[in-house]
Amino acid sequence: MGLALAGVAALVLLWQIVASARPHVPSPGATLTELRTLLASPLRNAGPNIGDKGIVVLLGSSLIRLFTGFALAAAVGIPLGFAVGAIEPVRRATNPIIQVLRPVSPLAWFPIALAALSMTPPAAVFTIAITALWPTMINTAFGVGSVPQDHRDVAKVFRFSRAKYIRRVLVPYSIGSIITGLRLSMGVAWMVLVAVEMLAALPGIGGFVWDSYNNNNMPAVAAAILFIGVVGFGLDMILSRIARRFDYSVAR
Amino acid sequence: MSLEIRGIDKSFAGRNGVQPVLSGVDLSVERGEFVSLIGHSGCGKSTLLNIIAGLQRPDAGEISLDGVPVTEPGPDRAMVFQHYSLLPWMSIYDNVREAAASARPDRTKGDNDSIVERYLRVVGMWPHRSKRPGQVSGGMQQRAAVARAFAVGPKVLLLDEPFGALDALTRGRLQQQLVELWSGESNTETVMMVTHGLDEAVYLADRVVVMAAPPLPSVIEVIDVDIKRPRDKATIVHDPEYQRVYDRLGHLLMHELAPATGW
Repeated sequence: MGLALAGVAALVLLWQIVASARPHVPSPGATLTELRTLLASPLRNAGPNIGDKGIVVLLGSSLIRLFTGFALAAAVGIPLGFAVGAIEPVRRATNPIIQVLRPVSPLAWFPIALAALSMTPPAAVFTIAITALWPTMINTAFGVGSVPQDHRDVAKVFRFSRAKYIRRVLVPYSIGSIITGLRLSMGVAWMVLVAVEMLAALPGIGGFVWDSYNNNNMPAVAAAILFIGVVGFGLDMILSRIARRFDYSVAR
Repeated sequence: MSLEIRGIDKSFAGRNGVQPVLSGVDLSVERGEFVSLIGHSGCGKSTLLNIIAGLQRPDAGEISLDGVPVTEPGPDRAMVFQHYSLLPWMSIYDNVREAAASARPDRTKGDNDSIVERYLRVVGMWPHRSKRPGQVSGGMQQRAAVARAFAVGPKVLLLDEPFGALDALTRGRLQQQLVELWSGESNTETVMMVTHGLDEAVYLADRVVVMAAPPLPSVIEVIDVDIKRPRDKATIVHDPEYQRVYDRLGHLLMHELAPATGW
């Protein structure tokens, strides 16, 4: 705890030095003042524009967008991952597609989504779904495809039915990898969401960053970075808690 | 239930081409017999056990139980694995109950539950039934695995180095429990056990099958152990028959079949 505080103190000091040297860089003091202003009316919702909304309202909109895209990705990625991991012909048929599409920045999908859906909010959600799809699917496929021979032999010797094998071996074995995939997805999706909201000027924390920049309010940008970091950290904590519940590694 | 093993060949495709593992294995195991399989690594003893279990198919030859060919796993056989192989996300109780229930769909749930309880009590795991495998010791996990195998009510029990990873005291207790279950209340008539331990092989078995890796024939020698039961682990070592078999095994494994390196 002491060292953590020392680290923060050192960063703030460095930040102050840089801010003194470059006039457009927001100083820690100015950022703190802006934070106070933002937190004074966090739930304000006076109109449709970004400037009309409190910081918590904006974060809420972002989180709804994130969870919608994330849920779509899970709904598609987990079953697809099971098919890819468990069925060899499916794996071979999809592997080249996955390998080529996976390294593409999800933001590149945004124009197509926008053209196809002709509205920015669903296009942003689609982009998030694409972002979260790959890690979810690939980790699910990895888990499903790596059930140890020991477990498979047990299922064979004791003649587990296919349904029982899936329920009692395949799913419990892969759940750890699936959650790891979801956790990675959540991390990347949160990052991409900020970018997509900036790109589309959507009311949300990313849109707030862009709006603040356009209003030349750099302390607000710095404050938003803090909020984005804290929320991302919180999301990761929640998923790592869930992951720990499914960790049987002591017995593996 | 008599077990006939006829002309079994098995090879595996490896990095250096096809590697033969078993060649021309012939063995007849009578009803009620306890047979130990012993040999150095690579002699195919675990592969033979897997073929009998129906986990692997031989390239040639046939396994039959009372004249009926064996091609896949069935409730007439059950296996205790080397690494316990309990499913770590289920309780000890669920591990045994689920396995017995799927191997024996002919039983009612009530019958199955009472059989599971009986064997968990016999091996002393009933008080620990709600724990997960990761929460108990290796010896306790293997006791649960033994209960799981017996709970199927198999005629033939297959054991793949079941006690190799356990300390000497635990091993001794488990060996005794195994013999009591086999000769006592269970329906299990025939046992085949793969082992690395000379003393274990002789103490438990009616016959010891000594195996070797290719290019030698798979079965080198079958030695009868003519010691009456019940046997006492503490005094059996003074039995001249024990010493005769033990010395013969030691001679075979450490001289005639000694690997070129590693000893």
